[in-house]
Amino acid sequence: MKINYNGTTIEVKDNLSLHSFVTELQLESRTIAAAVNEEIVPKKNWENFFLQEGMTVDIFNLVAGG
Amino acid sequence: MTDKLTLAGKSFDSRLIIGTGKYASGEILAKACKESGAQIATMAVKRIDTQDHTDEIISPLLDMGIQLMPNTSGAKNAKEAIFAAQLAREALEVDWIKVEVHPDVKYLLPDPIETFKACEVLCKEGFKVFPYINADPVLCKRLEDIGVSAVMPLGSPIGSARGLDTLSMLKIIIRESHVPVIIDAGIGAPSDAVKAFEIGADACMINTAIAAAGDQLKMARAFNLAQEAGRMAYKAGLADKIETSRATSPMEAFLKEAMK
Repeated sequence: MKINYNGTTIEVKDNLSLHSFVTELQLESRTIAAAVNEEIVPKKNWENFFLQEGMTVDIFNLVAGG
Repeated sequence: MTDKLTLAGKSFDSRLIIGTGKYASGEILAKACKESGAQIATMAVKRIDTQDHTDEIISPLLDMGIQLMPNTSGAKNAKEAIFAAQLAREALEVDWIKVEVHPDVKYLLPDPIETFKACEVLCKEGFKVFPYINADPVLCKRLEDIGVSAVMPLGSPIGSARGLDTLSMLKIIIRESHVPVIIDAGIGAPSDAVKAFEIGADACMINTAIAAAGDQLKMARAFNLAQEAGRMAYKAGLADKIETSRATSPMEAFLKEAMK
């Protein structure tokens, strides 16, 4: 299925949890937050949150800034 | 220093807040933080770039026990600022948020209306809110009324190194405020920080002045000394300014005697 990830359309496998998606991107150990369709999904819900066709997934982190 | 800075119920020995932008590496940033003595550092929330590991700036700061103050930089309105604050809290598990809303990219001046709206919501959501604002005493009081943890009026535009262009308004804000006043933006030299502390600022936020210095660690140290000197001068009480002179030696009497 196709999803929109950080502004780009990408192909991911079906029945993919948000946790698995983050793990596949090797981001699981980093200081991040995730939003799906512009709603924040708390980390504790990632394992039970399954992505669906056409969803918009944004992953954010903290970067240098004043 | 014995007089501690208290922000949102936490005490700090240092009165400097370090902005983490524009440093060449996380290592230099961490060293600069150490030299400055700062115990609080800001950072921004961005969509992740998987090729970019600049978020590694955070680990050394956490190891040093630095209080993180994420900001909402990039937000053009209250809605975006609230979203950025919620993302930062989710990512860092920190409820401190520096609210920045500056739609204008030329001067990066904060939008007072959108900033106020964002602060109102974030205070209700339990955030410790630190709004970056223009040096407007009335806005400061309105923000104080809704429960912000401090106000962060600017000295001059972000990164401009122009110092305290807003000095007279900053003095009013400091005199009237019941929450800590952190002078943010525009501080270009340690002398600006000394001035800020002399007029009674509770803290100063420094980024470009250190990050863009020829020797960042030396400049960080200079700001550390500046906060100590400025704060000590404030606590000591400055002499009043007067229009005429005030003799410091008994010279007049001696000259009168010689003229006879």
